Amino acid sequence: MNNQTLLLRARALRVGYSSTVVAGPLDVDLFEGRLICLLGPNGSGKSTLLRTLAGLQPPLGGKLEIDGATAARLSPPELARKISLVLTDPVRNSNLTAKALVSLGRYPYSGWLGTLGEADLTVIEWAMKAAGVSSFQQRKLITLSDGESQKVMLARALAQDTPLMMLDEPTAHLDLPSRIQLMQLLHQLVRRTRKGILVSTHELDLALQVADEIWLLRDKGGFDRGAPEDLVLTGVFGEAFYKEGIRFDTSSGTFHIDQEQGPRVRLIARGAPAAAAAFWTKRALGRYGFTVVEGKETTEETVHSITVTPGAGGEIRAEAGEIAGAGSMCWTWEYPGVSRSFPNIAGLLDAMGQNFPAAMPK
Amino acid sequence: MRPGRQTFRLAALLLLLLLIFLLDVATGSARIPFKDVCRVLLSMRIDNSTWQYIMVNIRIPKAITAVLAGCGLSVSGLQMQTLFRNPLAGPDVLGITAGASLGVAAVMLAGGSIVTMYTIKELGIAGSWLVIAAACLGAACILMLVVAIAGRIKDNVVMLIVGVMIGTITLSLISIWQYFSSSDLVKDYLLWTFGSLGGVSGSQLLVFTLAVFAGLLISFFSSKMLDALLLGENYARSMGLSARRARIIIICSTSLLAGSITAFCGPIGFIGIAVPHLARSLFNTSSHRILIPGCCLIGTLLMLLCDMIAQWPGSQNVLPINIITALIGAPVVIGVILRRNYRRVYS
Repeated sequence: MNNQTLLLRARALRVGYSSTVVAGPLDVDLFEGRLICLLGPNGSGKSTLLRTLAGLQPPLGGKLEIDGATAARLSPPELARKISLVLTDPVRNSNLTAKALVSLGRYPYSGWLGTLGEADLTVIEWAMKAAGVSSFQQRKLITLSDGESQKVMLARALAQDTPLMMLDEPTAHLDLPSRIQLMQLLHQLVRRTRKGILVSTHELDLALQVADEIWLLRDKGGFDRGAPEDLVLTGVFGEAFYKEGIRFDTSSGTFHIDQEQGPRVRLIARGAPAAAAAFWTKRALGRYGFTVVEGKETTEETVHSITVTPGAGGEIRAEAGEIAGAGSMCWTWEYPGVSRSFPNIAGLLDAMGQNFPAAMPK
Repeated sequence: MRPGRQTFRLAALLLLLLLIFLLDVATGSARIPFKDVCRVLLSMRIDNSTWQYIMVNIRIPKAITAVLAGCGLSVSGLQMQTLFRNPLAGPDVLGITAGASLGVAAVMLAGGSIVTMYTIKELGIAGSWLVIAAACLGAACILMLVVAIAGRIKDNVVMLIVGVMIGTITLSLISIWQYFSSSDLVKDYLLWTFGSLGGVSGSQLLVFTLAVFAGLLISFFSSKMLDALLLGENYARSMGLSARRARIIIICSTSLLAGSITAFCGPIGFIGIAVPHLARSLFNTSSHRILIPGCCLIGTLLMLLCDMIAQWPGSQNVLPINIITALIGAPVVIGVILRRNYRRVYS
């Protein structure tokens, strides 16, 4: 990593408003070709930190260097050639076309009347292509969906042609496919353009997937940074988002609703094909408060056990007179003296509910 | 829209404008043959000295005043709509003309019995500058107040109401002043508030032209800034715009335009708010490089039309210009509010 250019360097940086320090002191470095996700619960100061790093508001203390120069010494036009932004501010102009908006990205380079040269037009075209918005050049902003207009805003930032790019919660208000698409786009851009990109976001699972590094702001000014996987394994990640009744499961990388410890059930998957079915079975049992013990090896004593077997689904389904089922799987529930088989999870849950009325919804 | 079509529309408007200008100076309570009108415009002498006088001292100055007022009010309205990112902004609705009125009232009413609008006009250049300076100062004060308040209000209609309130407060201040002034002064002031394009001539016209041209020039040179401000202040700053400097420049230009026009023509309403919308829909663009000349042309055209309606050919009476601009402009404002995509776009 040492041969990469350091784009942003902050030391003992404190951010906030007038006399209230929201976060810091914190030390961060941002290298080229890295996608960094800035995470943190609401009110932890994500936006304030991002705005400060972007030069929209002055730091309350500490040192901030952008591309080797002290940030406070950079004039607005100089800064505009180093950092481009995608903000949460709505752009509500009814007459602006997608292309006109992207063209505004050339503002720091254009003449005093805003006239664009050949080189500018090339950059604009490239930016629209890279963000995947070439097809709606002449469309008015109001006719675009939230996902589309966010990509146009990204294209505008790309047209600004800066080594650093910062995005403040770009996935808010987007539907799930658009969120994934946007994060994927950023991930590719970092690889292709060697830009350093900082994204503040609430998309924890997406961030864990695409980020090269995570900056984690915690309540009361705590700060951690590192590779996403390291933060998960050291427990820092789960701790930062800990809330009453919610638990971060390091084995699956997802958040779970905490349940009271219910009846213990052993879950056995027969062979690799049953792994997915076992995973979803565990989730279903977890929802109803069962404590699932996995695998045969465990020495723990359990009265009940559920075995997921691939391939046997067809027979049982025919036997039970059912057609609907979850693939060709068979769920077998055993406890001393009894063994019952089911073609799907719904059937299993139904039967178990009759034996454990306390665990199941009425 | 392609640049070619925009240029074509600008040229077509310019041609239409020349035609309307000609019509405007050709019509009035006195019947002057069209041939003689043209001769005067081409600065050739005509035999009838009364017609010559009417043309040179009344009709042509009035038409030029209409051109200047139309340009200035529309462009100041456009700048305010961009600065506040509010389609309902305009010099009259946000109380800027009221501020200019306060400045004018200060000169007229505080001057005591000697200084009336008439005597100010008689003072020539010095007096003209005095009124302009007072009006621009009044406009700038209110504009800065509105800018300060606008930072705290996100809703456009609420901002409109606040602007109207500020205007009302300003006008109340003037009313208090009027109450304690002599009836002659009050009458003089009231006549001025009806708005009139006539009565600006000679050296005043020169001062007026200079002030409006300065305002327009500043505004045209700031068209790049205005484009950036379309995205809001934070984005504009991230693109290298110094927000404070931009705001000062726009405030200067707007106060100069709205102030000087109000000083000479009275508080003319609705042109400033309506014309930018017409320009946007006609040129189908958001680029101020096109919109500013577009506003100038449409504003001028509308102002000349209003003037022609006000002095309906054959009629001996001249209606106050404010009545006509309100009749034409207010429906445009209602249209903007009612527009189907209004909620989605602006709220």
